[in-house]
Amino acid sequence: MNLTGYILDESALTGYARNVPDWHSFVWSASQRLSLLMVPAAAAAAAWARTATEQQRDALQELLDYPGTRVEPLDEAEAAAVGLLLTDAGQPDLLAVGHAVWHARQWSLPVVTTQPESLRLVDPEIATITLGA
Amino acid sequence: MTALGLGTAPFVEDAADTYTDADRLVVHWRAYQWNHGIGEMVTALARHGGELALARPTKADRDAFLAKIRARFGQPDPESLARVNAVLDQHAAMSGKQPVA
Repeated sequence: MNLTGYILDESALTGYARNVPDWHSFVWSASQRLSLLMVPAAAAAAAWARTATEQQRDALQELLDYPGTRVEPLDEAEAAAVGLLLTDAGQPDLLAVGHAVWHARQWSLPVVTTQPESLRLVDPEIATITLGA
Repeated sequence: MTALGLGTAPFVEDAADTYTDADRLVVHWRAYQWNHGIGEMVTALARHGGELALARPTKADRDAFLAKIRARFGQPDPESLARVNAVLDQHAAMSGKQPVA
């Protein structure tokens, strides 16, 4: 069976919280399709760090509370796997990016992002969907 | 190795009691126990073709969420929505994962 879903990186979450038109449309459309919205915990933390207003925080929380959104925790085993992935890529500082790449590999799902370049620094073959206008 | 490919060896013991049907006679005493995290099991199931049925939103969930988005941000910009839909449709067609209507 096919799993329809997307990995949302920090830029996707921040874009939605800030009501950037393409991210508004993406969350709308993906929800209409009953697709899963997979959020690596490190990406969620990075997005929380970039919220500037109460309205943005409310929007982000609402997205994370949606039953179709799965926040994927960074547990002990994943921390090791993501860290070693970043070491192999020579990008030890890209924690949120590495966590998104690791989950994209685990679930064979694309990462939706405004910044495919940073994802490709970790995995040149990663499947991405670039939005963000 | 388990049927799902989880690699940890089981804990094996001979036990005369069981946590189910405690008043029943236990004929075969050999017990095998595995201890896997939920995430490990879900990942293993997904790798073996499983669907994340439990995690899927219902249509009622979706409709409630769309109402919240509409209340918060309004309807999506039509041009943006058309562009995003085209991108998602194209990706779905290329990956063979058709969107759920």
